[in-house]
Amino acid sequence: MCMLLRGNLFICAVKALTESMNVETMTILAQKLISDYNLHERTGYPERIPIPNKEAARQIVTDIRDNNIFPQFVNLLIEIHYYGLMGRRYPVAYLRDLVNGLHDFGFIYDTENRMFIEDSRMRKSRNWGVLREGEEYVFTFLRLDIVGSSILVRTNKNEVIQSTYAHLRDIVQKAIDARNGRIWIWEGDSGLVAFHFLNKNLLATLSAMEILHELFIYNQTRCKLDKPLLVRIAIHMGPLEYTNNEEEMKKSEIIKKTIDIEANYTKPNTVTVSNLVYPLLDPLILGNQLQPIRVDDKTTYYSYELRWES
Amino acid sequence: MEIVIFSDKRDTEKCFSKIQNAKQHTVHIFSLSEIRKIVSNTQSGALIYIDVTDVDDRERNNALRFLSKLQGYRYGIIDPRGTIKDVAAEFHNGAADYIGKEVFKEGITVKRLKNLVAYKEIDVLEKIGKEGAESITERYILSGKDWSAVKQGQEYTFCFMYIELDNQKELIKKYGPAHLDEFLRSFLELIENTVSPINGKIWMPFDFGALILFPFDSERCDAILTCFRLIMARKIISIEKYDSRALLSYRIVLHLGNTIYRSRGNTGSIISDSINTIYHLGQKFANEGNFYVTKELFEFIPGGLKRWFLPAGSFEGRETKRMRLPL
Repeated sequence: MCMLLRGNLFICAVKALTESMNVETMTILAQKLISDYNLHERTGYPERIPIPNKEAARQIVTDIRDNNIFPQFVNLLIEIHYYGLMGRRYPVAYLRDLVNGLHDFGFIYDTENRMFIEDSRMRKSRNWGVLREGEEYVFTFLRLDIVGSSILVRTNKNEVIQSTYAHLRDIVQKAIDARNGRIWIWEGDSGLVAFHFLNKNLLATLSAMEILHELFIYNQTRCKLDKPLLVRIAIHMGPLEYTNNEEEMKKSEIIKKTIDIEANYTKPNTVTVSNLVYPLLDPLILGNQLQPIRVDDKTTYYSYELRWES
Repeated sequence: MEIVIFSDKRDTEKCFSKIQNAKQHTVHIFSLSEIRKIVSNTQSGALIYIDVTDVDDRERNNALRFLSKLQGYRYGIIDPRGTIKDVAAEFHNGAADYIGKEVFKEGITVKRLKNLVAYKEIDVLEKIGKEGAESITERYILSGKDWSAVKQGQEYTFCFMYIELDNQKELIKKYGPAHLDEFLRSFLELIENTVSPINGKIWMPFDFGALILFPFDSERCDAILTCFRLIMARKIISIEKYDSRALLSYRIVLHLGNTIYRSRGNTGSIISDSINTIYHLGQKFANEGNFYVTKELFEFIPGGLKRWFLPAGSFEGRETKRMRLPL
């Protein structure tokens, strides 16, 4: 991101602050993004001396750049431009130029979450280029596991196993790439995919359906195993403190729960949708596609499988 | 069979009304001035008639000489005023039929066409005589894996895909004139994006669908799997692409056949039995939401998917299979 803020875009950001708000307001913005931000400390001006507007803007934009949070900064400018800050709207100069600048560097604006995310056609990072370590976000997870993997490994040649599992990963990758999902964990015979943007519950569920469909075709046309490759897939959602550490991830309650739904409430070659995800789905999927699975008196999951006319 | 008539007389068509009513053959009528252009776009095997009434000697002789040199076509002469003095000579030159005053008045019958085909089948039989040893490359005029070898104006074997949206009245009502075009454009775009990775080309778009061509190399037909996916993914497509709160429904037919190739937009003059067949299958035979393949493609259905295709009966003498539908 440091490379982002060079030349025109840097100047543009400084001008946007200088021409749109006073030093006090721009300091509030900086404090929203960088905790304990002290502009006087950063500029070296004593507390009692007012900091010139332009100098304050230049320092803030420099700090934003050094903290790699330029997309979040433009987000904030969009927020105060359209929705205001502490009850007052601030028309931000050069906002269009800043947005275009981000587009050029592979970021698109996600209207649902009201934030910039990386354009997955240009770049795919685990955090979509914007999620910050240690911050809590709501995700929808797709957990996938190959049925009877240990038996398959024993009864099939290693090269057949390797190529089959690689094909499965390709199928998963293709299904989720089209829907802005990110593989967070892949362990050969199982995986965890995260969705965070747009209609994440729907996108995760449609990805799972497509994986089942493609696996059906794969089994009928290409699979070289001694029996068809079957998977169990679960879809669940909830909050998670974002981390890059896979071991930390696995310890989180929400991921444990997702794995539990897959392992204990999902039949081979089906998708189980959790009680939290189900109400947020499109009625077209709900129709007669999802069959209820009674978990206890209070909880019902829903199952999707590929069914055919007889 | 394709019957192509070249005549500048209004009443000539009446002579073929029994044939048209019987619906076993397709009749096209063009002006005599278009004979070379139309014949060059007409699939081999067609029956061509030329009406020589009021045609001056030079033009008539030129046209008959042109027809006598054609290979792979039968031709007949319509001559209700008896202009031609030596009818037998025309048969010696290769004509297959002659419609004089009386026959013209009574009209041509299906039986006559059957007799005519039997009479002129000698040439065809000579070719078919080799059929036992015939390889697939002899049966088809291969267009190749992609479009690189396909030339304008040449006849090739292609895989034809017909796709058309169902419930058209409801779509018109739902989208209204303002948004219908946009919706149909996006559907065509979806089809284009789906077929282009396997070398499919939208060849003849129409209001609610399109005819798509795939080059054919006799090794495989990827279009079958692509159409299989389109049917499986109907719900996903409906939700993701159209957000329409209603399930999109379309019917698909795949067929293997021959046609002269001309680029999109320049296809108006092409006469092809295969094009007629695929349109008839799509419009008159296919049920809503279903996907059919004709017999010519059965052998190209990927092995494991064969049992996902059920016999679906014959249409115009052509056997078909239908994909089992996902529920």
